Amino acid sequence: MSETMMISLTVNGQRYQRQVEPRLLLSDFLRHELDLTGTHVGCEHGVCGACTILVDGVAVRSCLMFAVQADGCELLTVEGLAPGPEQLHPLQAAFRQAHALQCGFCTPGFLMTLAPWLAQHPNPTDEEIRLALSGNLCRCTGYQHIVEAVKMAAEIC
Amino acid sequence: MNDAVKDAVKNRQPASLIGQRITKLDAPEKAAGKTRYVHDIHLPGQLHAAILRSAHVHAVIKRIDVSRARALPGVHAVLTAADIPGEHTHGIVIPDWPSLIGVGERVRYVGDALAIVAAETREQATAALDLIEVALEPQPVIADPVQARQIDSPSLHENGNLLKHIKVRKGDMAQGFAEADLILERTFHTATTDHAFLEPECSIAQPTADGRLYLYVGSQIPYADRNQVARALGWPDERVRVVGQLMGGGFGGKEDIAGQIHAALLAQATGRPVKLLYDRHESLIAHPKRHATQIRVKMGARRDGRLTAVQTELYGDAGAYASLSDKVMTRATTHSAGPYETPHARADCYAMYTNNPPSGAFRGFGVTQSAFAVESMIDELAEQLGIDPVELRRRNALRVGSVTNTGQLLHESVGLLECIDRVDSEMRRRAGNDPFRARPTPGQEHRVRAWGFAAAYKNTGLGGGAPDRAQAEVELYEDGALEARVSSAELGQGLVTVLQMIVAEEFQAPLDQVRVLVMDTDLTPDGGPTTASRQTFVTGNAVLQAARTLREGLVRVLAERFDAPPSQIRFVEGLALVNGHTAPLGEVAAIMKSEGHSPRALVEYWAPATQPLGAGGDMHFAYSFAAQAAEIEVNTRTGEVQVLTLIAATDVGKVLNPLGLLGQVEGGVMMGLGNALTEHFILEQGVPFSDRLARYRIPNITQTPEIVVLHVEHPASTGPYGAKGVGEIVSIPTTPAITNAITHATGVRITRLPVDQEEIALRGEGRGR
Repeated sequence: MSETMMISLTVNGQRYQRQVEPRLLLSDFLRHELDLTGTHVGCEHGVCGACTILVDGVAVRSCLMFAVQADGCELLTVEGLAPGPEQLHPLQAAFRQAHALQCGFCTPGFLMTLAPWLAQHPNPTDEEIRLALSGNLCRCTGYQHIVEAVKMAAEIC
Repeated sequence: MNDAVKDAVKNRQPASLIGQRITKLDAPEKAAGKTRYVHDIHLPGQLHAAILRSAHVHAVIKRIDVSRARALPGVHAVLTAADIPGEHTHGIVIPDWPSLIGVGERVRYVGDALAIVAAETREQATAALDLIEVALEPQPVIADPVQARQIDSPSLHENGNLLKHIKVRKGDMAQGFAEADLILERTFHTATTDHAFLEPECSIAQPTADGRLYLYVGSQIPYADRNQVARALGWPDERVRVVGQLMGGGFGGKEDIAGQIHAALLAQATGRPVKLLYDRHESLIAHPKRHATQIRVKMGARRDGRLTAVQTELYGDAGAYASLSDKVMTRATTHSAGPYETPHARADCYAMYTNNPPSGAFRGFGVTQSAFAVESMIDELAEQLGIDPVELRRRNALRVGSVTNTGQLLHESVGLLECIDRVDSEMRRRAGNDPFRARPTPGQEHRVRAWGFAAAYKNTGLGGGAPDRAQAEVELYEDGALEARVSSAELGQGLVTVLQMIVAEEFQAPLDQVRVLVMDTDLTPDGGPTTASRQTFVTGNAVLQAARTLREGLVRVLAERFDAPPSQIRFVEGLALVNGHTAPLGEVAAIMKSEGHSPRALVEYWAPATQPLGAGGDMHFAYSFAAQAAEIEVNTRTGEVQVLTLIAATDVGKVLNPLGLLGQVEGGVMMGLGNALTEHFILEQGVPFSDRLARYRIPNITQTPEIVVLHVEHPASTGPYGAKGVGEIVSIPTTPAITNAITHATGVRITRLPVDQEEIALRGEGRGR
């Protein structure tokens, strides 16, 4: 076994220091080391987008990064998206209201892809929304309600 | 009392929840990332499992040596077939699927398991697999169902390769074809496809101090899991408790055993909790698929378009083990004359064992395949007879009073004509009177647009004489909470929300006063399998009856306590109103308890009886109907097809939750779109090429057309509030609506799925422009 490395990073505003294997995936680190299980793993190779999180404000696939690559970074996962406990981020509220989720497994990835994007595109068109979400797969909804939810959230934001 | 309650009390007109847009009960938790799917559960001391699967498609096992794997540090158990204490095979319909293949036994597909390992870490468990030595003797491969039926093919199972020959007989085929002015015959092929639910399978088995075993799993049939796991352990059912977890999608793909037995065997052997997680690769390799089929259709019609005879011959690729092939291919066969009345019909289906991964349940349950074949033929018939394809469907459509090809007289709830008419008028409103004519896209002459149309029907419930029942329990607590309990599965489709609405409706209680507990074999009674679009109907009825039974109990107690006639007792806004008194429901629960009554009701609901295929009569207690039209655009240079608009009308009996229904329709449409254009689980002589998600293309958001959803309500008198099933029907007409549109745009007739878009570009040259 390879030797471990010390990393320190911030996740959802909280600082962590951990010894990790160099080959530990960031998705597994979040899920298994920090018990942040809202980040889901659907394909393990960057196709489905369910594991999307923010690293220094940028949406990335946590299954395609090693934990050690996030050393010194600021991370945001779906658990940290809402402004407070018992509250929902406007995107989360809109996904609920517009029926943009069914099984919910892909939802955190969609939300984390959208969070920084919507901030930069406050009045998106349908076409822009589709392009922004073209790397996230959903098997339940047929996507139409997801587009509606994004437009709804854009109005709230 | 607030004003709303006062008004409600005054007017005595309770507001109905049924038909209102209700957001999902579990949506806030899911949106917040708080929902725990199975893999999110971590039990103290839990071990991790890995499975050694066959690298061969078909072979006889000569030797398995696990000694080096057992010696690896961190490994707690390595088990082979010889270590199974109970039954060695499982299967929902026919138990022919070995949990582990033993020495001297036969490997029948690449997903067959030879040995299972439990270790401290997943890495150790996986490393142990490499140390297991296997000697085997490769056998010739049967790669498709037609080959499987050839006389010189090797036999994969004791009774040969024919799993079942399914027959439909109505009238006299010779007469039917003699009466025809036009006879068409054509053969269609559909591909193996995968559910590609976003959450791969995971099971956690936990031995308990009192000698039981708890199983955390996402399963569409918790009680069947319990039974199959118990049999493998050699235990009575009750010693196993299935604690079902919310699922990241199922679509029929989480009905069979996938890891439950292996996790249980390892937990039993080690005395430790064991987690068995499939990665996507393993999920794709191992679990049952949608049947690849070959369907030959011979159709006869008179000049006026009326069908005289429909004859079909179907081959279904059942794969290595039976799974639900018998039922799925029966449904494919009985629906193979389409949603039309024909005086003469005959169908023969051969469900064949092959060396491909097993085929099983997948949304649409066989009807997806036969609908593609029959709807393509109907369109061709229309073209050759010079009749509008919608009009041809209208003339033959099943209606009240029709007799189906299995001899069932339809006596109510047949909304097909209304579906056809509503889609047709919406299509023509958008496209004018000639929607099926190819039109070049203005300014982009290499792109051609056209519309296509298709219709379908699909049974609700198991049917075919199978007892179809659900138990359900409803309880009222002293804090005023109402709880519905049933083992039926929540896959994301929204069942728990519908059950919540039903209980709230019956007690006129606020929705947030109702909670729903599902999928736990210790705490919830058996709701039966979540399959066949049956849960809203069957479990919905069970919960409805349990709620009404409990409400009657409340009324009796209140009538006595307040000396009021039962007819004077009302429920409004979570309150009981008696003779001017108002009592919160929680208080009524307390009154019941103080008088020695239990404020709960357990019922067993039996759906109306059905008849087996061949017996005539009601093969199913209800059918849902649908029509869809698709507008597509073909890039004639590349063959690329984009679906622009999809109009879907579905007769669901009664709309319970329009929001949930929209989600079912749109999701179903996209699955049908994938089935038409992109999805193909590619196998090469039994070896999956599609062994990762990048090689299995499910539609993404850029492929979503504008989906126009129309609800049609022809109530089923025995459904809850008149409702029928919806989960499957919505997906079925989509594929042929799209392929018929491609034919109209390019002149290329599509006989094979998924559509080979390059071939369209080649064959379509010179047409449609």
